[in-house]
Amino acid sequence: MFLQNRGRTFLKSFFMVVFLLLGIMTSPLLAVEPKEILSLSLEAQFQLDFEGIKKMQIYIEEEPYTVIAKLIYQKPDFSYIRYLAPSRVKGKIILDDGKLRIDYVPGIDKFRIFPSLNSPEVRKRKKQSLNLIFDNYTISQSPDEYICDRPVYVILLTPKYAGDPWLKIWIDKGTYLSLKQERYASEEKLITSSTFTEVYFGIRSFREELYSTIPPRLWEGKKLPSRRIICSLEQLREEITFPLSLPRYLPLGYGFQGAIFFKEGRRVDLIYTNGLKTIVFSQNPKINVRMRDYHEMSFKGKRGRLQASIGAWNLVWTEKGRTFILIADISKEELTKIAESIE
Amino acid sequence: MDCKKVRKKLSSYLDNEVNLDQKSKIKEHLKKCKACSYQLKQLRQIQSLVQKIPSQKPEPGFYERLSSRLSEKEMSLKERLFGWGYSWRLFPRIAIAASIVLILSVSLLYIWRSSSISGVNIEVFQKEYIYYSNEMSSFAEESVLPVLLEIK
Repeated sequence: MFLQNRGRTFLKSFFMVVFLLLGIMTSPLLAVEPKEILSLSLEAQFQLDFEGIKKMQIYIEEEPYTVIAKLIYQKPDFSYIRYLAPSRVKGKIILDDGKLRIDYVPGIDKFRIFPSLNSPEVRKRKKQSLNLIFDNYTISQSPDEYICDRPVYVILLTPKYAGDPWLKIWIDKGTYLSLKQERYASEEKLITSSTFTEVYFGIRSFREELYSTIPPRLWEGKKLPSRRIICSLEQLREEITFPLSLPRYLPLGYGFQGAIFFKEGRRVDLIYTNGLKTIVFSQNPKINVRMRDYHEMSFKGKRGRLQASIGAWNLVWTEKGRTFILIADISKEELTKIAESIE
Repeated sequence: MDCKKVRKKLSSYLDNEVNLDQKSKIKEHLKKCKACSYQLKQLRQIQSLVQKIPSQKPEPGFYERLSSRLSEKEMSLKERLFGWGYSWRLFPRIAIAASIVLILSVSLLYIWRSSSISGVNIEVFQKEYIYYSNEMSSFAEESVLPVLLEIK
């Protein structure tokens, strides 16, 4: 009897140890990879109904600016942002219904429409851009934390190339929604940070009420500027009726993402990205670009006007009856190298 | 020939302006009619009296002044009669001239507009850059980027 009991106890202990070992062995296999977390996070906002308050800190010349906004997202493609602070942007509304993106400032009736940023085409381009991030960044995971009392993954994106920003993202474990982001300059200096101070899932406000905050006369029947996105340079060459200029040099990690072709004018904007940052090279008919606080610079026998704006450099020059505008969030030296390489 | 017809022609008979047939008929009537003969006698007396009045010569330069005044009258009359006519005759020329001026003005305006450089603020391109950043890159701060230019 005693031996029988000892045998049962041994078997129990044996199976418990086996299960424990199996658990330890399989747990890394069941854990979600950081790259997969990022992929799921990119799509999360289009698969959820949620509302929240987001607080954003922007550092301009080391001076912090705080922006607070109320965000409403409704799957699959509706978003509504209403700014609450600072006073300069208070009341500003951005409504995106998957077709149009309406930017409206009440009081002064300032109004502008853009193509939607929630459309399937934009989501596809953002996914392509994520592949560039995987190429240009080392992705690592830190121990989990809590944001708004919710457990979150902490993912760190470390650039492979000098000059690129660092990114730290806090992603909700339950929904994969990004609840916090911090972007650092290459010197690990904080550039922007944004965090949800409140977030509520499963809430669905009445869209009619949200639409009613923008006077219908401003957006009903309005047409978007006639523009088309062309994703290959070969196709672009076939479509345009003027000589296309292209940079022969790009900073490491950057690739051609697409060209915005404006049908009514002889204008094209070439867009390059490394996944996080963007370089825009705009080619226009001769126009007078009005700038303030710029200084003149020479490059490869050309004279241009260089201006430091918020988060980017603007370089403008005119050559052979056309005006070129290069805008990029990179160093002045890299910008000059790109400009010099343009043929 | 009766008295009424003879008296109508008496002045012409006196001036020898009637034909031979009428002259003989008037002569026959005058031989018989004392009243018509008396009428003829009076006419001859008036004629002789008129011939005795001395003729008056005009002042020197009268004809020149008269001629210029007549020309003026003639011009004003022409203007009054043909003023609109002159305008209508000039109308095609005026219309052609106006058309040329209009075409030239429109062409110059078009050339000026196409050659003149339109002005655009750099902020327009910056806003588009921000939009492209949101559109083309992953993890773009959708709510931060649109206010970057406005908060500074």
